[in-house]
Amino acid sequence: MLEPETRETLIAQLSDPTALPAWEEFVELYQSVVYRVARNRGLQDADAEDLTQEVLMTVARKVEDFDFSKNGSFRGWLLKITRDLVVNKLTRDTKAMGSGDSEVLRLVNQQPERDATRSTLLLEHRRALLAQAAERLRPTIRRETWDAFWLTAVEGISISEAAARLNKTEGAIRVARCRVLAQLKKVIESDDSTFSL
Amino acid sequence: MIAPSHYDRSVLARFLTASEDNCPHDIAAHVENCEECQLALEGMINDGLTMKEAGRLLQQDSSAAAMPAGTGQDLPAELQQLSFLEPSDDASTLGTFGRYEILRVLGRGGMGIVMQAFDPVLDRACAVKVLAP
Repeated sequence: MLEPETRETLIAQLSDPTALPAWEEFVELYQSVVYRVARNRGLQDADAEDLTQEVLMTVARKVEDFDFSKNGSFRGWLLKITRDLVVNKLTRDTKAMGSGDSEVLRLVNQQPERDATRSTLLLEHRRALLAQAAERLRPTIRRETWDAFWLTAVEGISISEAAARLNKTEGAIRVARCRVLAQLKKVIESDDSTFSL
Repeated sequence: MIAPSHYDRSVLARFLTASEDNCPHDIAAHVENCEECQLALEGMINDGLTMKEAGRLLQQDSSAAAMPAGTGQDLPAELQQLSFLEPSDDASTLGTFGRYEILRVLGRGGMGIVMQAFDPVLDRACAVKVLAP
C-alpha cells in the first residue's frame, strides 16, 4: 500500500492546503474499497493488492492536474476518476482485432461487467463509510448500548435473547439499537457530502 | 395510572442522535417502556439506511477484517506443501526460501504464490512472491 511519505510528496505540489487531508481521508477510505471490489471481481489477494496500489498511485499522479479554481469538488473528482479507473482495470479486455463492428460488439459485451463492477463499487463505498463511522462512534458510547445494536443488527441475535444477555428490557434494546444506528448515520452525514451514503 | 403522553417526531429525532451524556432520562424512561414510541423510533430510523442493511454491511466487513480472504488456513493441506522450500530450524515455520522464514501461504494465482515471511536480516515481516513452481 502507499507509504504516507509517498502521498505527501505526490500531493505537496498542490496549491490548495485543504487537499492533503482530503486526499488522506480518501486513501484511507478507498484502499479497502478498491481492494474489496477487486476481490469481489475474482482477483487473488496479491493481485487485488497490486491493483489497489496501482489505482491509487495513478490517481495520486493525476491529482497534479486538478485545478482548484474551476474543477469543483476535489473529493467528487477523486471519487470519479478512481471509480473509472477501477472499472476499466477490472473489465476483462476481450479486444478482438478487426473491423469497427467487432469494436462495437466488444463494448456491448463489456457493459454487464462494467455495470457489475460499478454496483460493487457503490456497495463497498457504503460499507467502508459505515465501518469507518462505526470505528469512530464505538469508543464514544457505552458498551451495552453498542452491544444492543451489534448483537441484534450485525450478529442477528433476537431482541429477547440480547435483552437476556445484557440484562436489559426488550424495550431498552430496541431503543438503544435505534440510537446507535441514528448516530452512525449522523457521523457519516457530518463528513463531506460527496462521501455520503 | 394515566398513560404518559407520547413524544412527537421532532423530540424523538433529537433523542435518537443525542449523545449518551445529553440523553434526556425522562424520554429514555418513557420510550423504553412504550411500544408505540418504539415503533415510531424504528420507523424513523429506517428512513435511508435501514437497520437490516447496516447490519449486513457491517457483518461482511467484520468477517473480512477478521479473516482476509485466501489466508493460508483456508487452503487445503496439499496446497500448503511447498516443495521448493528448504527445511527450517524453526519448527513453527513452513521452511525457508533463501534467507526468508516462510510463515504461511497468503494466496495463489495463475502466476505464482505469495507467502508471508520473516526477514531475519531486516528483522521484519515481509511478503515473498514466487512464480508458480
